[in-house]
Amino acid sequence: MSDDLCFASLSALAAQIAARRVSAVEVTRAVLARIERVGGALNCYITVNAEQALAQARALDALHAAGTSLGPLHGVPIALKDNIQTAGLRTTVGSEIYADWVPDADATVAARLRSAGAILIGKNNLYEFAFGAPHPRYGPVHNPWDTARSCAGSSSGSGSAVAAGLAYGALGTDTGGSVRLPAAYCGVVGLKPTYGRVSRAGVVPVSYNLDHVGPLTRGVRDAALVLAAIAGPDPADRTTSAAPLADYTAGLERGVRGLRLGVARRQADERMDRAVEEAAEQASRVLERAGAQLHAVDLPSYQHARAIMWGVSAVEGAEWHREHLRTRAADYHPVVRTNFEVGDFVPAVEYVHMQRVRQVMIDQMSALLREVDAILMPTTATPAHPIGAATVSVAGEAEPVLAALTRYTPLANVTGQPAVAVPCGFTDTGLPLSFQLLGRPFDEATVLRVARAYERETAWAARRPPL
Amino acid sequence: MDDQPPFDITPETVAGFARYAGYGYTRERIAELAPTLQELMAQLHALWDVPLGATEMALTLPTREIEP
Repeated sequence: MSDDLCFASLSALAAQIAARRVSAVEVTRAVLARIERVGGALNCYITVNAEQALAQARALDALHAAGTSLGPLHGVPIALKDNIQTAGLRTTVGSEIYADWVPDADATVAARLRSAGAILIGKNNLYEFAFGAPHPRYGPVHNPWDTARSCAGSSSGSGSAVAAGLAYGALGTDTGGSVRLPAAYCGVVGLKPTYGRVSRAGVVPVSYNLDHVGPLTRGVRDAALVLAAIAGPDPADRTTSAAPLADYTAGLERGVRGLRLGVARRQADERMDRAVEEAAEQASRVLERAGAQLHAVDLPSYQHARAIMWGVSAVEGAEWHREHLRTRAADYHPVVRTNFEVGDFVPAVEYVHMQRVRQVMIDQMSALLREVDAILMPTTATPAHPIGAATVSVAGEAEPVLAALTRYTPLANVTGQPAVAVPCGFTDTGLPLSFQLLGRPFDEATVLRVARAYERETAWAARRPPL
Repeated sequence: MDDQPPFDITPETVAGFARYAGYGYTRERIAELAPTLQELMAQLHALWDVPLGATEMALTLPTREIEP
């Protein structure tokens, strides 16, 4: 019973709480008990916020008893990647350097979740500073579908926790795919909203130009509910937009009849795992049967996205980390240290050139999205790789893990458009597969609507990992 | 200038830049960084072939929106 409660969808749970069939305290205790039971094997939490979460749950139940609801997240336990500041709760950023940091203020997204009634159940493990590798102090996160496999990154713990029923949703951050990649590897939904849609104030940055905050959930409606709670302008983040907010749940069940769906044409030199390719192809057919019009499209410059993501992140990260790299370099994971230090040696002219190419890509995608309503492409080139692997076999050829992993996701960071990773099946060995949908800027509603249409036609979301 | 710019990332060439910029990297550390820097710069050089026309650089500005 307790596990059934933990695996309820966020939206179903919220309805149960609203109808007083279950209390916030009961839900929080159930999730804490499951974290106690299986969380250690997954290593997906750095801090479990048991005491504060139960106090918050009691306060929310008291409010409810007095006839007050804070909204659709009232009483729902949600986790945060540990680079999102939380008042009075340790925020390590997955690092030795911030291992004991207790912020005195919430990040805007954390404050908005609290205001919407969410219970902050804990802080998820992640790659150190969300850029490259887990610090040995915290270790790697394990995949609930096969604990010898990676959850990718950098929001590794968020993907693992949500897939394993250790939170009803989680927030991650995405600079080159770090919400969508763990979502894909762990078989959950991961939404990177449009640049400027969600505040990054109080989130430790990697790249000012490419960072986004977004939800990981077990269902599309759940992602829409979390987005609604955190989206909107924020005076503390001047990059947030005043563009009107949509009602992200209102159109979810409208289906895809008549929508024009671009399907990214595979490039001649592009390698991907056969299971990934077949799953994406089948997903497009499911949507076609549901009424979408399919159009094969070329993404002429998507292969430049990874270089831009890497170069821009390295330069901007090197600047942010300058003081720490001078005084505490030995406290970084060697890979993370190198990732930032190489940014010191990228000429400024190259940085400007990357930003001009980036504008070309934004213009190309804008032109394409006048012809179609959304674009479907794989999220990753392979299913989850073994933890610690340096290379992965892609269609029979060995390739560095990072290159294969970040083949498709950086495009939406470089252009700023919204993208959602959607579970679309399993390999023969039981590893999740995923496709992503890219949409027009500030049109999260359409990508969520297409994702929900696919989800409704399939049963992948009902599967649970063997834990 | 030569037609092709030099692409010679060695501890010596990078150390010169580090001294010029005032960065305190040791020669040993620069040698460790060189392979990764070589790979990154090779990828950035591949961007030189992208036709830019009159495109200006993308900017992150307050309330900036990317319209389709």
